[in-house]
Amino acid sequence: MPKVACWMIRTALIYLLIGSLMGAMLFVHKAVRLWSELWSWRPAHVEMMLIGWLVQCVMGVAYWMMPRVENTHAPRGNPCLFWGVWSLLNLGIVISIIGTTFLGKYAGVGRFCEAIAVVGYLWGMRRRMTLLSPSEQFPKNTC
Amino acid sequence: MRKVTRWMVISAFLHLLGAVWLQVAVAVPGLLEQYVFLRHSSITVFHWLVMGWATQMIIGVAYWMFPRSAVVRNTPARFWDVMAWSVFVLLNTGVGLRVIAEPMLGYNRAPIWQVLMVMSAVFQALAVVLAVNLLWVRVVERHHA
Repeated sequence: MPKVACWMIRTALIYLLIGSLMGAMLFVHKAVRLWSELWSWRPAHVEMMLIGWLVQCVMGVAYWMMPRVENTHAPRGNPCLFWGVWSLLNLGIVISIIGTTFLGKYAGVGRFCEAIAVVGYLWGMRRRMTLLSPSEQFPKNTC
Repeated sequence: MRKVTRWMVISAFLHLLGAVWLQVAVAVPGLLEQYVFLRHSSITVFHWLVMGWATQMIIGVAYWMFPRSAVVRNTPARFWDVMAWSVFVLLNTGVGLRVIAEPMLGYNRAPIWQVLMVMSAVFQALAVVLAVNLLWVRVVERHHA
């Protein structure tokens, strides 16, 4: 597994853990009132579970497993671009969480960073998305 | 494919099936008036999809496909299988309890629904803690992978 994919998946697992524990507290709060301020954490929970966990995990696994462009110096695409994507995506998530939960503003800045990260990811993966796997490119049982 | 993975994938699809049909039930005109608990089901559908379908599918497939690190290889396979089965049971019980208790609590705040919701939260949190442990050791860097 390449290093960027490792970091994306590990970060996604951390978001899964924190987001789920936060969600469990919110859910308990729904049944038994714990602390009135707890409900303001809901946008952070949604952000962590959807973007932090699901989107980032899928991005990491796709970066690892999608067909590679052979005979190039970077078969998976430019690693610097994907490190940038990882940084910007997580910066965006953190800004969104702080913006929605604590400041009540700047969430848009975070969402913008996330959107740029997604565009960068798709740009980096554009050639790999249209590639066939090696077995489809060079079938063994051709007549 | 590992047996636990197969069960997680089947279960994930069943959750998907349940969630989309609950969504249909919520959208059918007149049904909301007839079955009051359905009014509180829209948030349940969302969680049903994220935890029951997407998260369970990812955990199941990742347990099967992620590389076996030195830590995984040096621990008896039974240890990881027991952990994976525990994730399966806890996650499905937790999501199942939520699907029943959350709409009912909106309809009727009886203590039974409150207890079931707390149990659901605890089960799901435990499942996630175990799942993160299960997958973390499998996310390993390999230069030629």
